[in-house]
Amino acid sequence: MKGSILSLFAETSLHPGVGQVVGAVDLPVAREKTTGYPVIVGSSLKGALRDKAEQVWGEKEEKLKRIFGESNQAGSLLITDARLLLLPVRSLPGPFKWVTCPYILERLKRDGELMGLSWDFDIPDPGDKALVQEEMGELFLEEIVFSTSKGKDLNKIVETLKEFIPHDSVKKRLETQLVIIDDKEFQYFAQYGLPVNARNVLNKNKTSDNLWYEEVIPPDTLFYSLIFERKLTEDQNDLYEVESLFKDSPYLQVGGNETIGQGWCRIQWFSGGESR
Amino acid sequence: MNWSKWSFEALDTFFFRGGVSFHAGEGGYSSVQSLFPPFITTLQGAVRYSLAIKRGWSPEKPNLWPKELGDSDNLGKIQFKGPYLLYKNKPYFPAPLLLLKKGKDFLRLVPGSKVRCDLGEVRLPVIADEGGEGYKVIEGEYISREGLQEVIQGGLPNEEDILPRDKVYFNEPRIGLERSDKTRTAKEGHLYYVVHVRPQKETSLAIYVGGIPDDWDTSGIKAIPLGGEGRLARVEVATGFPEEVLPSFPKIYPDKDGKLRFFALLLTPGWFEPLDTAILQGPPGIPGTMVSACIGKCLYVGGWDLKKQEPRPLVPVLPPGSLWFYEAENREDIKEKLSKLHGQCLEPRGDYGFNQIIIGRWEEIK
Repeated sequence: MKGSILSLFAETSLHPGVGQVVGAVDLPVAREKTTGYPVIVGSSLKGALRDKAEQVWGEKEEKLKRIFGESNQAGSLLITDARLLLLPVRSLPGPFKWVTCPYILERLKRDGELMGLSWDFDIPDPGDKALVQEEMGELFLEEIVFSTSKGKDLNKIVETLKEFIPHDSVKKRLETQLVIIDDKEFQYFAQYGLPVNARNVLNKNKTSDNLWYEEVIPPDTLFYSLIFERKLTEDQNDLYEVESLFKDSPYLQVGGNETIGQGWCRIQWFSGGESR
Repeated sequence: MNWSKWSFEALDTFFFRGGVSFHAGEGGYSSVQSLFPPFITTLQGAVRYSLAIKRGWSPEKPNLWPKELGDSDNLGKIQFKGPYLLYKNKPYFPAPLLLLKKGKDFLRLVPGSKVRCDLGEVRLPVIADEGGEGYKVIEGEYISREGLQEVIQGGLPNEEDILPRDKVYFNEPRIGLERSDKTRTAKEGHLYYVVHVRPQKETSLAIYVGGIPDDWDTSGIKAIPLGGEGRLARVEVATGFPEEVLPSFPKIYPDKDGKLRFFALLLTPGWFEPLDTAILQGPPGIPGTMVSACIGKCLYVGGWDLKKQEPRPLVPVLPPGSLWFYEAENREDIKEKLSKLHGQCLEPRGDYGFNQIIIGRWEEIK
């Protein structure tokens, strides 16, 4: 099967929700059950791509059914969940750090192999330290303090991650803001470090009718998804068709709260080491 | 026959729907749970689909479907064994239903004295030793090959031989909806709730595929759609033989009264026709007299017939881990037959990998 990687760089907060739950946060974001990392589930991403296609091609376009499927026929596009790659976490020395962990990098490397890409970096072992490009003594991430250590060959990881980022200014910023911490420590930030917004509806007396708490994934978070094309007809080139949807506007809205500006991602495609 | 080992790892989640309908006449909110591991019917479909694609078949060229792969009702020249659960690349099996556990301690069930019940005069399984208060059958957990070897030899496993379900996978509930293009809100009546499984990072599934012609190229099969909801699996194809995964045939020797006592344990789901006869009399072709059994709750095999574009009828099967206790005369030909039965997939549907049994030993309570 032909495949490409789609990277999604959050330009605004994202709310890929899971519906209402009983807990301190009424509307949390979707998470992987095994790791606790925020995730944009495949069906949500596929729906967002279909919506984009309907806007660009029109709702009556025949190939929409072939690519995205209909009730009695699966589509040609196969989409994995969008996996977390970099999570912005508040930090005292600067606005934030982009934090990731060995498991996420290991998964990225294996996904790269699956897509025929070989990234030449070793998986670091941070232990109880935070690995950074330039040692900085102590580092505060949210309320937790880490001692830092200069990561060996971290520049190779930085160079790989830069391929997923569309903006040159962000790529440059990554060089000084990347932090790698242990899987367990990372899990804590992924579980408890996301912003929670209080929202309400005001009545005509300008007092609150209701109040609810909604979790969001912050802007500047980086995700990626693997997208495959299943061959249904001889002359189809559906992956290319979907990629070409973004020629004029490389933006995609995913998840809920579209009308309050959430869910906008700058997207980028690449396969075989070539970014598009 | 040449065999290869196909390993499947979830790229994120899997969704293997059982026999529950999305719309069972209910209104509002209902959930559909995923099975794990899936039935071989799902995995064999994915394997044959991938092989056919490699041989140039596509849905618009149905005449290019390789005859070696059979059709929607038979497997042609292909055979399957499995599925087997791998954790850290080691095989684990559904725990035999004769095992009871309390904390770190285990007990076994054996056929008890005759009792009269609605089935007539039968021997029901009883705890082999004294006590047993608070012990429970280890249903839904997995046992290592080493632990299973101990059990079929008549012993008990160690605590580290048992793999609890939450080390293998988690259920991951997901909400889906169709959005109305006009209102940009959820379409009325199109909200659904499904429960996927997310295998832990060290969990994978393996099946053994036999009979693929030698000149067929299986390289390049790396990711394939597996199960429902368009979920994907990473695939690895390697040489391997089905025997390598199984515990070896135990030493079968007579009890004090000179009788051979053994049990036949299902490693893969039991698809027998008629099922009630198999439950009451044991699977066909096993020597000796069936004296008792530990049978789990039935599962239902369904699936989607890609060619006919329709769901397959639901068929009840016995869960792996179910077993039948037997008694037989101490004869060499019986011992030889038992050693041949060990690891075999009994008919019907044996070529699909259903009905795989292994032989174990039990002792009458002294």
